[in-house]
Amino acid sequence: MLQVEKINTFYGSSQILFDVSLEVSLGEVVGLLGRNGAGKTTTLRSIMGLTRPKRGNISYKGKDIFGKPTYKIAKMGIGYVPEDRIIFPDLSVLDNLNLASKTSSGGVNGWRIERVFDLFPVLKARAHQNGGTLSGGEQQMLTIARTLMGNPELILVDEPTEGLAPLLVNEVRKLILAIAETGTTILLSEQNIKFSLKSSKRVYIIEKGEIQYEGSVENLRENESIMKKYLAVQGYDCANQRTN
Amino acid sequence: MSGINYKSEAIKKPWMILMTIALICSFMIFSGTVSAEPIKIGFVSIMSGRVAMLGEEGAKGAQLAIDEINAKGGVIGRKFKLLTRDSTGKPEEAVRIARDYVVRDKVDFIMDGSSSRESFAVKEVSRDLKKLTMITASETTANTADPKIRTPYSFRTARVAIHDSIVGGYFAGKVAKELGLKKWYSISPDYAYGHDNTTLFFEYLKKNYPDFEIIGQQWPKIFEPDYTAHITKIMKDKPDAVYSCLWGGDITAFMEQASLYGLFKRMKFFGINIADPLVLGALKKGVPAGMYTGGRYNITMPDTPANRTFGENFKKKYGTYPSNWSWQAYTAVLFLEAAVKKAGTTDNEKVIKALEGLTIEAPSAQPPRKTVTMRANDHQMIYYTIGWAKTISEPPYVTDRTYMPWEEILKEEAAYLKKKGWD
Amino acid sequence: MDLSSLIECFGDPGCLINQTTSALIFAMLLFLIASGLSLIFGVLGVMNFAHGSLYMLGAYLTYTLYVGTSSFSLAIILGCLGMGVFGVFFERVFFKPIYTMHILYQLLLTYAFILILDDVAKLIWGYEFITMGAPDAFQRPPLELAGSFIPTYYIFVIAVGIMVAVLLWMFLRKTKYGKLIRATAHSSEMVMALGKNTSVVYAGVFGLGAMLAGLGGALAAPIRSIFPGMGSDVVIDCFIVVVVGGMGSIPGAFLAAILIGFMRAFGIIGFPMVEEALIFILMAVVLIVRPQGFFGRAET
Repeated sequence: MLQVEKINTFYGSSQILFDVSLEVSLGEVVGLLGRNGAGKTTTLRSIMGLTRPKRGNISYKGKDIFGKPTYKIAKMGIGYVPEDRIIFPDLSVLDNLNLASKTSSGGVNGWRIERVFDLFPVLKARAHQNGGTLSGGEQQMLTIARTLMGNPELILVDEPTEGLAPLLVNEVRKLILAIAETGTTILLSEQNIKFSLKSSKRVYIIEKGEIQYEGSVENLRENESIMKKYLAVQGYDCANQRTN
Repeated sequence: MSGINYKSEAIKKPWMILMTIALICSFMIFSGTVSAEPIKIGFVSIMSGRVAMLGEEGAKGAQLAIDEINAKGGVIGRKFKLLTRDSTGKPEEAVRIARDYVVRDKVDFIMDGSSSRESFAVKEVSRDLKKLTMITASETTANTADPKIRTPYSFRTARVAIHDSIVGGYFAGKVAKELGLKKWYSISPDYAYGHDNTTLFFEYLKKNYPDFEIIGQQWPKIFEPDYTAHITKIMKDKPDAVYSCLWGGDITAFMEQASLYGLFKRMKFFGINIADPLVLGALKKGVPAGMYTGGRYNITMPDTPANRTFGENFKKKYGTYPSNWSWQAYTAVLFLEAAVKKAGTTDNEKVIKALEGLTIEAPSAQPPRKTVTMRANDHQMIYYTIGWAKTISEPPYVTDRTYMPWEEILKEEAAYLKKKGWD
Repeated sequence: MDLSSLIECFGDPGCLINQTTSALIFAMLLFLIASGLSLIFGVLGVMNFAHGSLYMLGAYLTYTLYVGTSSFSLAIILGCLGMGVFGVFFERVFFKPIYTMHILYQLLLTYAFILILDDVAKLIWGYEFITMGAPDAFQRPPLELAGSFIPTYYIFVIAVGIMVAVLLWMFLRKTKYGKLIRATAHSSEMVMALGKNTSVVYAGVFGLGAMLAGLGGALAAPIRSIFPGMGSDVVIDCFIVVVVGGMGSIPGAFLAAILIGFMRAFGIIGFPMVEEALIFILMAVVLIVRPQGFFGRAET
């Protein structure tokens, strides 16, 4: 469904990604693991066209999307949940959601406001409140819900639990699993290995802008040296640093 | 703004540099070219921005005179040639241009058509490089009157502020006496010219009509777009008469806004700069009748055949009637022609000797005279037209022209100079 | 200082009405121009120093249309629309390339356009100032009310100003496009990632901003002098409005413009000679006490 081939991305003159390649198939949940600053966010931004890679190739459903403007990529059915949960603070929750509706034509699930509220009852209760008045966890949910309103077939989710209180972390994780169950394809960037291992079938590990490991979760589980080398193995890593 | 912008990577973009170079080149095209034969006059003034008219109008007047002289075969076998450059209103730029004219273009004379700030600086170049300079726009009295400031190399064919105030006070005094205008107000621009002019006006009004009081004075900043608050304040205070030396676009804006309030129907208005052709021409809805104005150059002011010919020739060439600035620059070229003819050379020292006390026929002469004179001691032109008039709504927009005899102006001026210690 | 006059004026209905009208007329024209500037800054993140030049072009355009059609209402409408189209064109051609650049480049470019547009105006309309005069419908004696005078044209301008303020506010608050604009102001990247073409929003907002400046110019044309450079002074007042009201805030711009109008109108009575300085003092005080302005959001 999504094919990323040897992309090289720069910020100014410093190179962030080196020949990053990855692949996501329809209906899969794929984990993108790595420490802070490893290049996870840049990879997702490169796919969305928010930061344009200098070289490489990206295709989605067989169509070349490399160098296309972000809004066209979004319209083709890729949703993006950024790590710093950018909601529109002076629009109501409802307006936040409506703004994103009817983006892509296909949509596997036909997400509508009612269904989104079913999945996120807390948002329904706060529908007319301004986005800025929500708590951090609620804002994260709003970001995810808003992306769903665009009926994406593939969602790029960037560290959805970073900076959230432990109780909320579980809730957000449950939501992501629930979305995955509806058949939506997900590329999930995470620092937290436990959750990735639980939600994903296949993972990539990125370090210093290069893909270091690619394989099934089972393989990774058996290979503790890789986990130790590239990942923060302790259960919870709440470093709140922006990942470039 | 957007939460996730990153540092610019575009600083090195070459097109910005290219654009800058293209801009600089396009500016340079406007610079003059060099030729050896003719008598060259380097004209420096502001020709861009909102007082571009100062330079543009001056250059037109000088060029007309040059064309007329050249059509007759020039003077001492040589033709005149005018170089023009834009000072952009900056004294340092005006100085640079003036020096460039002398050093690089080797001009014979400089003509300075700029406002006082630049004019003071250009005058110093003339002193420094010993280059004859005609001042055609700056009206500040000290420029020629103050012995410490004036230079032996500069001459002025522009009106002088002190003459303007003497005549204004003389005229307003007569009207005030006749109509019993006791309570006065003023609204003038908040810079040196506005303050000096207004103070002197009231000083000379007092000489002619001691029986009045100033009940309010307003000083809007120059180029103020909106005078509504000033106008309502004046309406509230109900003076008998208002004096103003607002000029150009400021006086037109004031008049438009004041007309909407019916201000001119409720009090007498003395605007020294209303009758400038640019002001009258700009008032598309007609000129409010019954205002008193300084006698700015007009096709009928002075109402003489020579002036009519000058005005019509100017209009034939440029499509509009000349303004004060054109008229003053035109006269400056006439003076240079006559002086070069008399000296038989363009040698500056000799031309200066010829200019001092020189009397020539000029369209700007105040009737009944037909001539103007370059005063020998301070290099100031006298006997030019400087009167007052009343506005009417039809062209030529002014009527009841009143001139103060020059003998009396000079008497008052002498008293003023004595008081200032400039005699 | 002349506080006794000020107190006397407060007790005199004629003086109060006079100065209030004069405050409002100044405020409304200022608001129209400044709201466009604030909107453009809020959404595009670019300080458009050439905004005053758009006001100038609006005035010139209206004048030309008025001379051509002899209809003032037609001239205002076409003048506004013309400036809107010009704004869209201007944004696409000249502004689009500078969004990602350093602020100094933006400053350089927009400043350069002040000079360029002044010269363009000089080439087209000449260097002489033009006075259009109030349209015939308004050439009548002012209304007299309790010893005060209110020109009919001023009532018209004040009404248009308030109407535009309300419409603009409703547009941004209530409509789909208004919400899209506000969302873009917060994060254009996020809006793009939701599948909206923010280039269209940018062009539209710039067009709208230019239209508002154009309307300011159109309404000012009959009562102010039109000349190359008339925008440069106005833009300074506009920046004060944007700073005091809060960058990007329309209600803030409205309130700040009215406040400045009143400070001028009553400053002239109570503090003659320094009424101009009052406005800068206001800005300084606001910057110290509430740096984000009345309705601005504090940077986090």
